[in-house]
Amino acid sequence: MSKRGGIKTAIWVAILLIVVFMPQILRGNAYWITVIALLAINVLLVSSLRSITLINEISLGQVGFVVIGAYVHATLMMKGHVNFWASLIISALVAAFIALILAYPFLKVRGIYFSILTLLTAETFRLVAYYWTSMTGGSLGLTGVPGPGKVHIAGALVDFNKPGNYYYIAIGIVVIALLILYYLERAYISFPWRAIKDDNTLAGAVGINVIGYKMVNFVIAAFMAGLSGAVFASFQHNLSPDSTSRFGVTMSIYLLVYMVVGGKDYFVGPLLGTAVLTLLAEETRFMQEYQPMIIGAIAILVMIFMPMGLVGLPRQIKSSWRTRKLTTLAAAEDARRPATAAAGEATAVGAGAPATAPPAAAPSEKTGQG
Amino acid sequence: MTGMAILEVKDLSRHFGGLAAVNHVSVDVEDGEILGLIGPNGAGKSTMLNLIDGTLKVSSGTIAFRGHNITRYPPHRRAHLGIARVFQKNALFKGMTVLENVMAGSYLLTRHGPWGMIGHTYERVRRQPETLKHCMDLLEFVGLEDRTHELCVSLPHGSQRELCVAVALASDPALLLLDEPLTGMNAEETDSMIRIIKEVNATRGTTIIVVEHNVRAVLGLCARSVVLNYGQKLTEGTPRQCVADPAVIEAYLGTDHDVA
Repeated sequence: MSKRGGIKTAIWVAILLIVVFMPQILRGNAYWITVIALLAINVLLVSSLRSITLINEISLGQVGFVVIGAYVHATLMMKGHVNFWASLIISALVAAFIALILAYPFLKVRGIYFSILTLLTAETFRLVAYYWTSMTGGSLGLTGVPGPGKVHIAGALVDFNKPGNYYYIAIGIVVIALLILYYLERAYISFPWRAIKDDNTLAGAVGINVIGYKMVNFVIAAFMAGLSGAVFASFQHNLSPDSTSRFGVTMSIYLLVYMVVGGKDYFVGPLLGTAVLTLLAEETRFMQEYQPMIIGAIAILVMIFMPMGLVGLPRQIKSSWRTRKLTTLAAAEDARRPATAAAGEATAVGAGAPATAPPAAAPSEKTGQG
Repeated sequence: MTGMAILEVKDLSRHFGGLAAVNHVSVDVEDGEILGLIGPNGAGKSTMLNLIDGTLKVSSGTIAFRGHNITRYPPHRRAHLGIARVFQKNALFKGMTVLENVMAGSYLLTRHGPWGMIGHTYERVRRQPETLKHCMDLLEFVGLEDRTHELCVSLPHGSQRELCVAVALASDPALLLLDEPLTGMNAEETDSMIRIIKEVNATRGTTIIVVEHNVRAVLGLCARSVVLNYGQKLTEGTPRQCVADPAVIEAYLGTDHDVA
């Protein structure tokens, strides 16, 4: 157990080191730094989407809170000249506040109705940004969103508006946000969430304030989505509310695919899913027009053959291997009893099935618990 | 305490469109009794329980529990006041182990303020000795103490039913609503469940309302029963009186004219 924990920690430290020294590894290759920074921002966004699956809902509206976070941050910095860090927090809080207003009616409905409501809300926010020209620049977009600017660090003047330097801020914020989400999943508040996920009605009957806990979950997820939007705005420097931009419906679908491909039952699922699919998209850039098709095909294949996603693959292989081994053992056991087996086959073909079924079924139950 | 009404249901109605599933029913439940709620299929027994525990909203009438008017309370607030419910289907937290289910049931005893919910880890709350003891006592009571770490869905039907009761009892309720606790059980499981229900009532003083089709079980369990038919209260009294009542026999079996 402790050995496995040690290996896990080592892997995390290695990943963190690689991510931190990425600009050095890439020797300042601005293109790849941009790709990886956007990847990190998307990981936070997909994690916020996954956080809502803890109450058994699927939000297609996280992008809506990204729109709010991004535009509030841009407006505060460009028109209000607010400090970068303050603006970052305020815009995430605004997203969370809007989520709080929407949460009660949204979470009163469940399943597909919740998904539809969130999807339409996201589209509404995007269209508001699209048509509120005086505030957001409309379809022309908003350009010149500043970053944190030049900061004196250890005597040197570092310009954080440069992607290579802003990269560290983006990574830092994403890591802290992910740690918060990770902690919340281990805090006691996750237990009522689990109860709600398993059975809404029973959770209410044992005294859990179902709607209240769901609202808290939704608001936290919106905060994280808003934060990712704000980080994005200062990174990209320009925002476009176009339907083909990252604020469109397509993005919501992509986020969902990232989560499912990675494995929505695992905290690292969004990280792995987003990383794999983003890098795949970069590598297949030469056949860009086929990309949605490729992503769609991958999503379908993963859902059919790897229902637990990429992260769940080792466990899936292990359990199927164990089941197969036990089935072979059971078959061998049957072969060793020729009298009963022969009698079963002699009387009826169907009798053979119940004879082999119980030994095969019993061990598979055990594997489920282990 | 016995003799005082713990739950007063006055003129309660619930309509589904044009159908009155519960139609102007008034029932007083005394503290410490086991009340049987019987009637043919579709009489409104389960609807009645859903109205009392808040799963369904009341159309008209009032429900008072220990002096509080709870008519408009959501389910979780009724649970705070001490109403617990066992659903007709085996409603359990399916992703949880047997022990975790009971722990979720004792949420009201283990919950913290907003900062506590975030400040404490789940692991820490789970290992608190008093919580653990509370849950293990309950599991021992229903006879599931050696299956604590199994997933609840791997239990057989009868044991799942017993676990449902343990989950409901985990919040130390004053009123327990049981919706057909004996359905689908064999003779042995039925006896075990009846023993559990009786013991809950005797040792904990929990008031129990039980909806059940098994008339023999109702006769054995309840001192008093209420008969519903087409959403209306037909009669009430001791189970034997009720079963002998011509109106009840008519409701269950019809009249000679129906047969002819």
